[in-house]
Amino acid sequence: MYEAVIGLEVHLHLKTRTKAFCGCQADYFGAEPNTHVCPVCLGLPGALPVPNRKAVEFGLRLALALGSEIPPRLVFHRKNYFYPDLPKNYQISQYDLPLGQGGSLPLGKRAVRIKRLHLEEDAGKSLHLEGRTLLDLNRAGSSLIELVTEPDLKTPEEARLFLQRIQALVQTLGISDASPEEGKLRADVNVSVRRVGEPLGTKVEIKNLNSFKSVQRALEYEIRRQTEILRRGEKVKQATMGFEEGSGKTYPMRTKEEEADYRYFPEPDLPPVAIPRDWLEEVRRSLPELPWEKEARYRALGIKEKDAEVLAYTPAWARFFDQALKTGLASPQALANWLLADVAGLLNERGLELTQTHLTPEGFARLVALFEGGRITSRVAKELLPEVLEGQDPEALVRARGLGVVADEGALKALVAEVIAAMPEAAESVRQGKLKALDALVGQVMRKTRGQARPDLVRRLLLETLGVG
Amino acid sequence: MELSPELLRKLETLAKIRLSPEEEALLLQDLKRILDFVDALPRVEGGEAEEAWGRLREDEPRPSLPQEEALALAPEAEDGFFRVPPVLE
Ligand SMILES: [Zn+2]
Repeated sequence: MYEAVIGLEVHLHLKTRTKAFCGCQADYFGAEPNTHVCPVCLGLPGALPVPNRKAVEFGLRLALALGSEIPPRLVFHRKNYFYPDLPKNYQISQYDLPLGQGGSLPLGKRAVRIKRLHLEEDAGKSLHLEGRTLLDLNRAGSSLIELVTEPDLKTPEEARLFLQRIQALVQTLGISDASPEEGKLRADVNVSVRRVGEPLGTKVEIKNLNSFKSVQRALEYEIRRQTEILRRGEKVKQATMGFEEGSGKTYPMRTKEEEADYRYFPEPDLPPVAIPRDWLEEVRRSLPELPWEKEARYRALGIKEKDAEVLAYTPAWARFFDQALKTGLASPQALANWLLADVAGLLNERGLELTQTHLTPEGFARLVALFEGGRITSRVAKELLPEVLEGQDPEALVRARGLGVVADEGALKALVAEVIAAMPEAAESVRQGKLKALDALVGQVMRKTRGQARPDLVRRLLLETLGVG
Repeated sequence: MELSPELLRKLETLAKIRLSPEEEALLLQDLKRILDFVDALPRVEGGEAEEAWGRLREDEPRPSLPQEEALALAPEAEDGFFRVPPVLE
């Protein structure tokens, strides 16, 4: 039996207005190349970086949420390497005193340990063309958090789930959009395979994975590859790999530079900055409810385990759900059911996000309340959902179309009597205990109410009237 | 601190520069003198050295350079991009 040991390195783009060490606007989306650059992020001689308070605060939010240890001062180091998209020939990063050390992220019944998280700046973008490389430095100097886990993950599926959890967490904290498709969340993975119970195998790094799906696929391929090597009795070679989306295969990249080769040294342009404990307390107090706290609250409200988890880790939905809850119109589980099954299904069918519809938490809660209060049937509620999604008021729709359930027992009893009189044979069968015949009677009453009565109520009234049950 | 010719050659590789044997000999001497100088610093007797503390900046945008100005400093440019020799990877 072989098992995989997986660790992740996640890069998150921070949602600051300006870059990490200069006042250039960080949102360069759609801008002409090299229009969000200045002497600091171009690395021109004499320009001095100054750290962005917001970037530090965002880092602190994440560190506090994960329960990491935070040092009393902020210290930056230079990481030296040569690449044209790195104009200074070094990256300002953190080394032996990262912003956060330790901590963990809950994952099911376990917790994935966090090794460290630190602040650093991003590089620019290269465009490799025939005979030349073009550089756009708009991204150079943007603020990033690098988060490194301990090798606590065991399967590709778990790695994907961890990334989704981190994404949900930073979105909830409001510090990053963490959208892989925009390059705002990038992941490198470390993976080794060993025989169960044996020491760790040789580690292979797969770099630049730009979707959760490619993380999972690259790991699946790499674990198979390493397992086969070990089965043949051979040794896995340490390597840095890339992943090709098309073939779903990993391939070796340049050999990894030794850590010492980065020649880290304290950034002389940035003296240490104190992180006062009262600032920490202030940031801690300002933290929103975290996804796992949300999950626990939903569970305490009696929401099913799976539903509570899905809601808590889908920030846009959790926000919507909480607002619907706050109306107090419908029960938590009914809201969860309708949101996760019916609304989700409809959105999926139409390829829409919740925020792209006109569905309001109030409108949604009112629709669920109409059903839960027995005023409309679930069939009618489902029928109305598309229009409620377009922003229509469910109560107005029910009134205008006469779709309300006939819940008036008096009115229903009269119909029940009519039907029994019209179908004496079926009624007699039921009296004799042949309950199969009941369906025909229920169906007839339902038809008379144009499907607006609650079938269980009709059933009960029929049985009562016929003196059965 | 010991600065061996091997370490110097490793630094050459990392800094992506190539030195002639004469230059190597010269640089070895220079660097040794610099390192000795730095080594001497901790022995300097002085008053309480005051630790320098850095500051943070508010997250307020400031104007960037116009594209022409940014590119004017580069040896080569093309369509608003900096142009460098081809990078293979
Ligand atoms: Zn700048």
